[in-house]
Amino acid sequence: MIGSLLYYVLFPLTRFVHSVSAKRAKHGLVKESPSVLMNGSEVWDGGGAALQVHSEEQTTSLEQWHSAGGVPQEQAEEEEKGRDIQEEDRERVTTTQESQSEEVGDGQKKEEAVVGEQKCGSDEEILRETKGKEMQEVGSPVAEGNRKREWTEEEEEEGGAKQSEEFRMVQAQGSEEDLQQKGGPSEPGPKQGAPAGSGGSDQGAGSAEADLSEQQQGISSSVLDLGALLSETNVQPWENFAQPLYTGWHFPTGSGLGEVVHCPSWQFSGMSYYPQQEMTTFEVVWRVWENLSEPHTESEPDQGAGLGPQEPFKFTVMSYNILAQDLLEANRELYQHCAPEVLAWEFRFQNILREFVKWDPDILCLQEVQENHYNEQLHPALSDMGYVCVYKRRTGTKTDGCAICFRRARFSQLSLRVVEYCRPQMEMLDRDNVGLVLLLQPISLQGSEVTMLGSPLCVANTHLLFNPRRGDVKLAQLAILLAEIDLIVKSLPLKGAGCPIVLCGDFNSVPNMPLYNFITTSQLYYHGMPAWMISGQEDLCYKMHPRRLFAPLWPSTLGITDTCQYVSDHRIDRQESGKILYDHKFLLGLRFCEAALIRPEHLELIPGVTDVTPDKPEEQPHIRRFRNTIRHGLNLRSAYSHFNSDTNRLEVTTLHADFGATVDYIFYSTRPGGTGHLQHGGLKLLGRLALLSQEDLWPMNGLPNEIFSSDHLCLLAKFQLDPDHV
Amino acid sequence: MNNKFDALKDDDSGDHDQNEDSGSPKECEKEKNEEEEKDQNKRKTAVPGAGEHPLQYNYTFWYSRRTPGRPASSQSYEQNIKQIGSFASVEQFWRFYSHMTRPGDLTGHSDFHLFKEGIKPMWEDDANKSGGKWIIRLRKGLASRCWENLILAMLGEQFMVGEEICGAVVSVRFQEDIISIWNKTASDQATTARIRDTLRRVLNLPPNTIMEYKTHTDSIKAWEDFHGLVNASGGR
Repeated sequence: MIGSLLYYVLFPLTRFVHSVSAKRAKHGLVKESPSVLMNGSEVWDGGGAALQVHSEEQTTSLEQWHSAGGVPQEQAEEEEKGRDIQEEDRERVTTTQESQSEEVGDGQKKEEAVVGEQKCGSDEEILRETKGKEMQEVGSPVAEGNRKREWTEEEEEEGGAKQSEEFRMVQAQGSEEDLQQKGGPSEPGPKQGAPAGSGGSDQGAGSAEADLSEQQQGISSSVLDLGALLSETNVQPWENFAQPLYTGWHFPTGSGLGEVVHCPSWQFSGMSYYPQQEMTTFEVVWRVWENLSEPHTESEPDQGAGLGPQEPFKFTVMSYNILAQDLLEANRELYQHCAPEVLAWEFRFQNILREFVKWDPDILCLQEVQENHYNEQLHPALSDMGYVCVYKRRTGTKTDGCAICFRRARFSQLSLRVVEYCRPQMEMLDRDNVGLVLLLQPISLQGSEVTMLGSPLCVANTHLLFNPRRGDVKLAQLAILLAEIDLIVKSLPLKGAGCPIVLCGDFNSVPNMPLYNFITTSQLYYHGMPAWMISGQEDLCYKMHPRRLFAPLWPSTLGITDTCQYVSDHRIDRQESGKILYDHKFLLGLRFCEAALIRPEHLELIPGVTDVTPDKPEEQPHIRRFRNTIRHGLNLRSAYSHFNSDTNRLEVTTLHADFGATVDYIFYSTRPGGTGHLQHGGLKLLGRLALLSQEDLWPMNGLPNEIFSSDHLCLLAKFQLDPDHV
Repeated sequence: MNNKFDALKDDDSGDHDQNEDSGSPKECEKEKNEEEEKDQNKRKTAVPGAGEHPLQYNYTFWYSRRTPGRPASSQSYEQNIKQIGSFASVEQFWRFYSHMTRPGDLTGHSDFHLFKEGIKPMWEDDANKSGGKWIIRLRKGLASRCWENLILAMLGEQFMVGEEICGAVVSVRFQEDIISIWNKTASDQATTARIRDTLRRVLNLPPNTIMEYKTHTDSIKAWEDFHGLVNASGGR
């Protein structure tokens, strides 16, 4: 109860923090403000430094805000305590937010408590302000914080005190800019919120066009910023592998920064030039199929694959985060730009189904599938369409999960691993994300006759943790998934040699950043890297003491090696003789596992013989064996290139009011090196459904819109099985 | 899935059978029926705990120490040898091993024996009576490492000689230490050669190390000669 009350206070607070700092991000690039230079090289450095400044005037404005908001000062001070409670109550975030949305939606201010009222008020204010102003701040890194349930504002490494300091600083920054902006909403108090918000809107619309060229200036110059940013973060190892290929740098430099400032104006021009009525003319087919195979190969994605046993087996895979309705409701502020009709589940469901029908994938990997929608609508509908479906809800109180559906005429299920990443006893793995790993046998079904075609195929689907600051958690979750893939593949004859792998899902990580590079290059030197950098969703390099990654990346009790394999399946050999063989290294590896450290119950104590206490595991060699580099044995490549070289635009797979980037992927196994002949266990990419850029999407009013009904786009790729295995 | 009980798991034989129905015997409180278990433990064979890595065979650790000043006899040998405990999995092995002194740190005239469960570390045992052993004499300071390498190779079935291996012994003596590995059939030269080659490989011995194969019948004879016993009914 106390927790939720406090939450009511804290949520608008943090929300405001983020919206204000988002403002800062935007203005930092658009305006010639004293703290942020326009030549690109000091954009973020300057911004970071400016955060430190807070004058008396600014402090005053903070106090004003407090009183305007009707929050007792003590309440604000309790923020520190509240942090902890909030963290504990992480599970409840969704529901609380949900109830907030309902309240606001009803427009009813329940007079339950001062705190509650305050929340409601400021919430509404933010909604209004968002309409006019925050909407422009698409892609701003900090505002991202509001997005989504699982990010709990956790500040484990920063005390509550630091949090409130940060708040003050951001607040100060915000008001400073507001002063410059004159008409802007200088005080976020509920009373002023509405008019100020609309004022901001006008200004935003008016200046958007004018700002455009200036912003583009900022984009190109910010590309040169790379060196400065790297030195700022002080991470040498990173330079080694994160090649400054600017096309891939969604963040923190290059076009990434461009997007931050870019989209608002695009959005506005979009709104002015493309009124909503026109949008109905678009159709799903508007997305273009890209044929990547030789000209003589047939390319239509929906013309099934060769059915004859001689022809190579071809199949299509779709990965689609369909945006769970509960999460949409809980994060309404991200979808302020959308008409309420396009956010209604029934409308979205029909649209999403239409996409399934249109593209007719053989394998469908879905994320954010709400359990009740799955049971009542998706599963029946997909079954009717000829799919077999497996579903895994997220753990804890989460209502959504992942699903894999495959055409029963084309595949039969060999085995399934349901993967929960949550390890309640491990601090770093107490998150409720899940994954699915499926082993499928390609078949040909003619009448009642089933013919096996080619080698089994492994399909994995996941939705990794969102929290942009916890790349360490994302990596550990990914490691579990990779270990599960390894396990299921090894269950095949010949230890699964030659089993192709398709790994897809929402990885909450952008291309060419460490987590992505780990998947595609099979290794990652992570030592000392800040955790936020792993996913690259946000640039948090201004943070003074970021959480950093050190070996071991995950606890040894997880039972997963630094090669992302289960310890128990490492180096065990069961030879023809049926003997259980263990090599020396394997046996040593178990030496200090927890089960081996307990004194045997009936061990007699003989002085000088059995009176030894085992050494502490931390000092032992098998822990040291966890190197500063993690690896995996899968040879994976992304089906998408993330950059459209024809239009020179970055593709996005997700877009909403705060953020647009590629975070969804279809990875597939390829032969290591070489060209021409298909690899043992490799897949050949025949084609894919082209993604869109932010510039394409904002004229359609962003996402979700009348055609694309999620805040993600679907990914679709067509593959061919290695003919050697057919 | 893992849970916190894993850390507290009692992998020590005994209670498995009676709990088999529950499917997760290791999660039962180990305090209960402790006395009863103790009794059972003496009789029942070790079994691997849930989630543990089973060994091909169960093994038993033994410890012996010669009482100074008293003449060794078959009887006193049997009295001096002490069973430390049996195990069935890799984890259980480490539980014993890491609570035991390294051979190099043992004092006096003492031995560790590691034999398959059911085989006594004595020449007279049925499994040993027609067998023999490879003996490696080590200068002081090498015993701990060599012993560990030897028993890990044995537990991990690295010798590839079917069921031939009986056990291994490390003997701490005054100026040297001796490790040996016992097999069932002394006359099977293919087996003994294979054991020798594996020993060379896993122990990583200095090239000039002398390895000697000795049949137990020879050992018995030598022992009898040494002690002037002619009609001993077995023993050492």
